[in-house]
Amino acid sequence: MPDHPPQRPTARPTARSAALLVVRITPSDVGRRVSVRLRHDATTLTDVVGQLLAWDDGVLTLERRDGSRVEVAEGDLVAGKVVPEPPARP
Amino acid sequence: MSRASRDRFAEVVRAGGAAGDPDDVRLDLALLLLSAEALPDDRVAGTGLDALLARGLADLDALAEAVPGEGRDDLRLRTVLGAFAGAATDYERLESSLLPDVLRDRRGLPILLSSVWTEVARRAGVPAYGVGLPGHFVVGVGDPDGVRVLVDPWAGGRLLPYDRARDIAAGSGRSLRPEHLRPHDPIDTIDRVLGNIRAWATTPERARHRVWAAELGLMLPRHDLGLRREYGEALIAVGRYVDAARLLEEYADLVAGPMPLEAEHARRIARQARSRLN
Repeated sequence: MPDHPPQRPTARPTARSAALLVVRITPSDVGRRVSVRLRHDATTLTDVVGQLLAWDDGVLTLERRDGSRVEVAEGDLVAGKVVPEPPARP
Repeated sequence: MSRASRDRFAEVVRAGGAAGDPDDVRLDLALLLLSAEALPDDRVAGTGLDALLARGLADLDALAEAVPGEGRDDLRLRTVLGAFAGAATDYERLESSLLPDVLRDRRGLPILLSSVWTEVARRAGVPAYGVGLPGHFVVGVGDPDGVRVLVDPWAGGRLLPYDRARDIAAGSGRSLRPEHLRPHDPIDTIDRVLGNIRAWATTPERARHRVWAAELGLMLPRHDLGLRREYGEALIAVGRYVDAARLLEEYADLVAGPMPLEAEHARRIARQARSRLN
């Protein structure tokens, strides 16, 4: 089937607003450790825990414990919260 | 088209071997060789083809050189590729499917723009891959099995959250399935580009493009069986009635068992082609 010009996106119904209620982080949380859950595809949600390094033009940059950095689209967040630092090892 | 460009195209698309390893297929070379088919023969004879390939590869290399070494991966690419974008009118131009023109004009169909992004990313070491949505084509940046963002090269690399990708699919009447978000196999990308060209080439003055786009499609390690019938119809459009009839009759024999109505339809078209020979 040949490609055709994509339609303009329509306004989203309120189901999205319900999901936004449990995203408890904002760009002001940059620098803090966060846990986020994101919509990866129709059947998969992915969890990421890490330091929120940046939140610019709709993209969050997180650094995980292993030092790896990942980008997350703000529009893909279904949940997010600040989490305490892990306890220091004895 | 030249013998040389056809032979090289065959090599490139079969580089994946029996196992069909997508990493071995050079999408950049395939798209450049494909574009050579659209040019008059004298332009791609001898050194003409080498010059076309060299120029295209050099353009991609130059773009990759300009990608910043650090920063957010999607922005690193957008810094250099954000000037590329598409418009609805691009669907009416053959050049929108031809990589040398896309590189020169910085516009084209979504699948070509996305291929520029992934070929530059590959050279620059940025993890990016093609994503074939129903009715659109975009790029994934990151880990396809883990965390990634989708960006839309047709919109200059603008971020595409999952919800919007789903809306785009719905806009073309289909649902977005997880397999749509997997890295697009370059063979499927080439097949889709050729399909777009055949869909564009439906008027009589464009018919010769329908023929080569079908011939290249048939050289891919996998293609739709129905492409043979499309090829037959393309041959009729350029007046090659004998070739068309023979091809359609062979196709009819092939599908007669599982698809008798399709076979009958193909035989009817073959008869019509033969009847035009008197």
